[in-house]
Formats: sequence, structure tokens, C-alpha cells
Amino acid sequence: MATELLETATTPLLEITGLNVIYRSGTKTFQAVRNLDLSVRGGEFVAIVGQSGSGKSTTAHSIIDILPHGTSRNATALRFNGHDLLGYSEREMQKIRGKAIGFVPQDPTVSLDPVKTIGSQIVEALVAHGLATGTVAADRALSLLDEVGIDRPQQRFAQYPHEISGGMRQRVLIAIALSCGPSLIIADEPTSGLDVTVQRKVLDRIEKLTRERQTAVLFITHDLGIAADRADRIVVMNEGRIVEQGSALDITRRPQENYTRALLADIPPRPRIGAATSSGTLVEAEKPLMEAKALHKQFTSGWFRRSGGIKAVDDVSFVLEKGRTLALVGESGSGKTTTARILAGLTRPTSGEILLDGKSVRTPSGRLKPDYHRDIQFVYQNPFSSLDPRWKIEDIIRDPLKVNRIGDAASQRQRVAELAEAVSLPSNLLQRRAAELSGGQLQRVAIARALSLRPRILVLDEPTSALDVTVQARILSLLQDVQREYGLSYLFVTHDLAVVNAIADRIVVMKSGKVVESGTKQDVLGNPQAAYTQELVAAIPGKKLQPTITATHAATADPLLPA
Amino acid sequence: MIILVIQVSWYRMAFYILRRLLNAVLVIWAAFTISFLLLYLLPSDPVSLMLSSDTGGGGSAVATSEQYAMLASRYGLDRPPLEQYGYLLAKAAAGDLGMSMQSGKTVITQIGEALPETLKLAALSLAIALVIGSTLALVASYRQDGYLRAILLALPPISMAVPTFWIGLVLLQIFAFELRLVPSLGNRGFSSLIMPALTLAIPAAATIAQTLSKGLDDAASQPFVRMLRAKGVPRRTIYLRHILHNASIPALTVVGLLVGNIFAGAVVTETVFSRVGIGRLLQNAVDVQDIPLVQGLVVLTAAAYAIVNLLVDLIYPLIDPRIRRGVGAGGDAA
Repeated sequence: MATELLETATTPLLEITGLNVIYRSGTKTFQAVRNLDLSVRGGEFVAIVGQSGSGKSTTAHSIIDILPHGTSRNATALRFNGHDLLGYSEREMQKIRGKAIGFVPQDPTVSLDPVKTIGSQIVEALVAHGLATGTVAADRALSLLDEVGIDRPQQRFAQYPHEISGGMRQRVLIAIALSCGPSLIIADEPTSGLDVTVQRKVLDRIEKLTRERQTAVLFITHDLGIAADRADRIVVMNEGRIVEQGSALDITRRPQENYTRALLADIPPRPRIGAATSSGTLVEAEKPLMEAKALHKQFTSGWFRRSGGIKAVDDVSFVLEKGRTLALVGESGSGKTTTARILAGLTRPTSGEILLDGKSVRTPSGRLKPDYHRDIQFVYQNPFSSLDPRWKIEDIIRDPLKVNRIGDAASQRQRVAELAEAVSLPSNLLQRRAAELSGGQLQRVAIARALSLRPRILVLDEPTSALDVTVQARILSLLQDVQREYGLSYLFVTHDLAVVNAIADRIVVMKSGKVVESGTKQDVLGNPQAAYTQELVAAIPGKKLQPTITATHAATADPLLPA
Repeated sequence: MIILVIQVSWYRMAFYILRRLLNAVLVIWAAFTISFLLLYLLPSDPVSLMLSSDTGGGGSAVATSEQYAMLASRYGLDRPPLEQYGYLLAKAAAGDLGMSMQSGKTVITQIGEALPETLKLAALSLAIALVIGSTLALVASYRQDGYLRAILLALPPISMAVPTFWIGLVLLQIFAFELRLVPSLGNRGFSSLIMPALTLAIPAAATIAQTLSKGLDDAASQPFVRMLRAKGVPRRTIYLRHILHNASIPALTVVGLLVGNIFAGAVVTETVFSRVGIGRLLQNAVDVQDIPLVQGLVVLTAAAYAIVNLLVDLIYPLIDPRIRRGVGAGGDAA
């Protein structure tokens, strides 16, 4: 093979010119990628950054031609390491996929065949490319599992995907991508569903292994922070086109395009250890509105019954002040959502008490007081699944009023219009159905619905984690406006410390059901005491972005400073 | 540590099997009880029916009341219903389903004579249904577009809508009377088995094809399939090794239910083709109100159904590791 000859400095490993991709469904067509030029050099780490619908994943899939059936792809040139991929048949492409170009998919929880063992799915890649069979292949798979950082590879080899965590599944997928020694790895948002500390470990692993092997990486992400931390070069995409591209430093420090600047400005600023955080007004002690006292929740279902159950919430106490935001921070399995559900009255604690205005929210017989739900409302993580797609927006917002028989039809409609205005939802959307709205619009609807009963407390369960960074920034500022206007208290559940930094007054950090640290935002983020909090703060991506962000924020805050 | 885990899962597996077995026993007992109740409530007098057929056609000789009492006590019909039920249940549990009122043979003997024929029929038709149904589903699903897929996918709903006896009559007309390829009636070796088996197999194949093609399409649209393509695995391997395996899980449930359908279909098919078998036996027993025989056949059908579904439940953990883990557990605990 002439591989060595072609891998000179002048010839890129991957070269795409004039790529167009058009999706078809029925008679409708949608152009996802428009006239895109992109190149990746040998050993280079290139990140494509864009929001959902920007065409970044489509670009990744079109390189190895794994687009859905019926999608049309054309380009002036699509060359990889001397191969003209445009002219390749399915059979020829099979030899490229996995062997010359590895692929790490977006969602590790659904990207492995659930009925085959982990080991067999690694071995399969080696066998498909004729690189090894039998025990040789098995040995190779075991050492790959070890390399990607999976403990007890012998045991894991025979396990099924559902028996290991999401982070471990992503490591398995990385092992598959590396298995045949590719010269390029395409990673399509490989960490978007993972906890922030797991995300960091997985990314470290990808970076380490690819740098060691001189493997080029084409990294797809919506997170400019990750791109800035890891990539040599960043390509910013929007609506199927490349907005701008350049070295990671140029893009983050000296962005040329307004779109890139806006994207940078929408990233919530990272807290810095040892420094006062951006919005530095100290919280004065307020009268507690709500108090959680020694909450415990034990789940005793299935085979945990004999061992005494899992303690989802283990002795959690905190105080929520009027008009303030308390952030409940933790990773998946920390018990933060269960705690929030207990507070909202959706889950009954095993023991412990909740006080509202100093009085218990349950009657002596243990039942929730009937009008409690008017005082506290819940906003869910994913607006796409928490709102009925067939309902009209007006009916969704009006529903709590109808159920609680508040006012007549005319006054209810009047209230819906007010609420829509309060959450900046255009009134022409009220007659649309939920399925027709975007994620950001739907989350506004969910907030309006929660506000309809004039509650005093909103429980917000990761309300922005399903949204793009730009939309997230708008929802966060909306929440702050609403809080000021109505004097609401928020219990904000999240795993994202950057979001916490933007919105919280007080913070409670949870791990394995227990509170590991709590206090004001300044104390917890500026000077974290618990090792776990320090780890969480360190894992927030975007370290290299920091100077830029503070600069932009300072610029917007103080018009006297030069931009 | 590892040994401990294996031991726990063996313990759970044994518990799982025991629970399924108990379920099966419960189903059979329920069938026995319900059939007893229904047959007891039936407004008929089996003893008079027996006497009238014993005296043979003439009907002039009216049976004496002693004869009546003797027959009634022989079959236990003179005792209170609860006692009858207890007595019959105890006997049935010991494997004795009583005497047929019509033929005078034991119910077990009569079933034993008819069962092999029906089993042959059921086995062959299930085999045909599996082959035709799976092939149809695989070919249709493997084709990603085109008319062939559309046509193949239209076949199952059409053939499901057609009644079994009509298919039987059409097959008879074409292959037995017009082409004279196979015998039309009776139990005369393998050649006489083909048409009734085919008659029963067609609707079953349609059901299998429909479930399996839906399962294949669902599995094929899973994200892990894209990952397999990105790994460089050939499409045929992806289909046969991964997609078919995932799709076979819902299809297996349907196969379990189909065995029940095939038994029910045997009544019609064996009548149309004049074959000896369980279906014919049941039809005759109902005609002459041979209560012990009807009850025996109901229990047999329930048992067949329970056994097949027990087998299905035992196969599940073999093809789906997620069930193997959850065996004996509440479900979402994992």
C-alpha cells in the first residue's frame, strides 16, 4: 500500500469538498449539509461544533456513508488516505468502515446490541476485517478493554451491555473504534449523555489513546467548551454550512463571525476556584420558606428487598428561602431527583419532614395537604416527553386551571394569555399543537403551565439539559426574570455546575443519597471543601475558554471597557 | 465472589422455573373447574342420552328406572355437585379422566388414539408456518424498498382475513379434485397430511410473518445497527446475527399463542378433511354430549397450551440476556 507515501504533510488524511446531503421523507426534502469543505490531517484533532440541526452529525455519517436509506449525498470530492470514497461500492466501504475509519456513536446506552456479549461485539470487528479470529481475537479484545480503562476485563468480556454503566459502554465503543487500528476516528457527541466527571474521564481516554497512536480525530460536539479544551482545530457549523474554522485558540479568542461570538457568549461562565464568582452579591439570611428535615427514602423493590433496599435519599436537610434559588447538584444516582420529587409531593419519604412556612405539609395521618400542589409546581427535564404532543398549547397551559376549577372559561383564557406573555411565548403559538414547537418553546410552555396556579415554589428538574446552549441561556434568563417578578423560590436540580453558577444562590451537593457539601454559591464553588465537589468543579469543560468568557461578560456588563 | 453470583442466579433460575410450572398447573386446574361448571350447568340429561343410544334407534324400549339409577351411579351423576367435582378432580389428578359415555372406553384411551394424528398435523403445520412466515418476513424486511416488499407485506393481513375452512375447501378443490396430486380425505400417510397441514399453516404463517417483519423493522432501526455498519460488518451478517436475534423475542410470544390457535383450527380442518384426530373427537363428543370426553379434551387443550407457553417462557432467558438477569426479580431493580 502507498499509505506512507500519501501521508505527507501536504496531503490531508481526509479531504471533503462541496458536500451536500439531502434527507427525504415522503415528498418532503431537507438539505442538512450545504456545500461543505473540510479537511483533517494525519494525527490532527478537529472538532465540529454546532447546535442541534446544524448538520454536524450528518457530516460525520456521510463520510463513512452510514446515512439512513434514501438520503442523497453528493460531493465534488471525498478522499480519504488516497481512496476516492465517492466511487466506492457498499462492499468496498465495508472495508473502510471500522478498519481505516473508526466510529464512536452518540448514545452508548443504545449503540450496543443488547443481546450479545460485550466481548463478542469487539471480536466481531476484528473478524469482519479478517484481522484475527478465535482466541487471538479474544485476547486482543481483552487487552483493548484494559486499555480503555475497564476494570476486570475477563469478567466484563462475558457481560451484556445492560449489566454495565453508560460510561463503561462508551469505553467499550471506544475499544471497538480502536480495535482495527484506524488512522481516523469519528466521534459523534460521544459524551453527551454522560455525567460530567465520567465525561471527563472518557474524553481523557480518547485523547490519550489517539495521541499515542497518532490517530486523527473528527470530534462532533455541541459543547464549545469541550472543543476548546481538546481540539487542535475547530469548525463551527450552523444550518448545514461552515460558519468559520480555524485553530482552537483563534476560534475561542478571536472569533470572526457574529454567530461564533454569540455561541461563546451563551456558554454559562465557569466558576473559578479561589475567585469570587461573577454575580457576587452576597445572600443575606432570609426567612426560610420551606425546610426539608432529615429526609430519607428507601426503595425496596425486587431483589434489593432482602438486603434492606437502596437508600436513594439518606438524611438530607436544607432550607429554601423566599425569592431565592437553591441548586441541588449531583450526578445520576445521587438522589437529587428523588429529593426534588419528595419536596414536590410526588414521592413519599420513608421518614423526615417538609415544612412550609414552618408548618408540616402533611396532615397528622400522613396525607398531603390538599392545596399543597398550588404552592409548589414541577418543571420536567425533557419538554418533548412531559407535554402531550397532540394537545394545543393553550389547553396545556389552561389545564391546571380547569382541573382546579379556577375561574370561568373567559378568565382562564385571559390568564393563559398573561402567562404566555410572562414567558415570552408568541401568542400565535397558543393555537398550535405541542408537536409543532421547538424544545425551547416547549420549555416555556412547561414553565407557563407551572406558573398558572400562582405557586410560590418551582421545582426545576434539569430544565435546560435537553436544550442547546443558546436556548439554555434564554431559558435561564427567563427564569431569573420570572423569579424577580413573582418573588418565586426555585429548587433547581442539575448536574451542570456552570448552570448553577449562573442561577443559584445556595448549593447543596449530593452524592449517593447524602449531602456532601452545602452553602452559598460563593463558598461552594469558589472554595469547595469536599473532594467530590472539587472533582465536579474541575470536570466542567471549557477551561481554555475562561479568559474569553470573562472578557465578553465584562464587556457586556461594563460599556466603558473596550470590547 | 464470582461463584457466589452464579449460585444466586441458579437459585433465581430454579425459582423462575418453579413459578412458571405452578402457573401451568393453575391454568390446567382452572380449565378443569370451568369446564366442570359449564358442563354441569348444561340443561341436558346425559344418562337418558346414553340409554337411548344403547337401545339402538328404535326408541320403543323405554329404559327402566333401575337401569337409569344404575348408570347414573356408575358415572357418579347421582351425587351432589361438589362431591362429584371433588371426586373427579382427585381422579383426574391421578391421571384418570373417567369413561367415555358413548364408546365405553376410557377417555385417556380415546385421546391416546386420536392424539398422535393431531400432533402430526399440528407439528407439520407449525413447521410449515415457521418456514413460510420467517422467510416472508426476512425477505420483505431485507428489501429496503420496492414493490416486492410492499407485496410481501400485504400478504399476511390478506391471508389472516380468510377463514380456515375456506382455505381448506379451495385447496381440496385444486389439488385433490382438479390436479389429483394428493388424496382428498382420511388418514392415509404423509400425502394425506399435506393439505390439512397447509390449511392450518397459512393463517399461522401470516401471523408469524407479520410479527416478525414488524420486529425486524423495529430492530433494524435501532441505533446499534448503525454502529454495526460503522464497524464494517456486512449487511447480511447484521441481519442474521443481530437483527433476527432481537426480532425473535416478540415473535416467540406469538408462536406460543399460535399453538393454541392450531389446536382450535384442528376442529374445523379435521372435519373438512375427514381426518381422525382430537378436533374430530371433540366435535363428536360435543354432538352427543359425552361429558367426560369433552372435559378430558378441554383439559388436554389447556395442558397443551400451558406446556407450550411454559416452553416459551423457558426459551426466553436463552435468547434474551436481559430476562436472564431479571429472572425471579421484580423487573426494574437492575
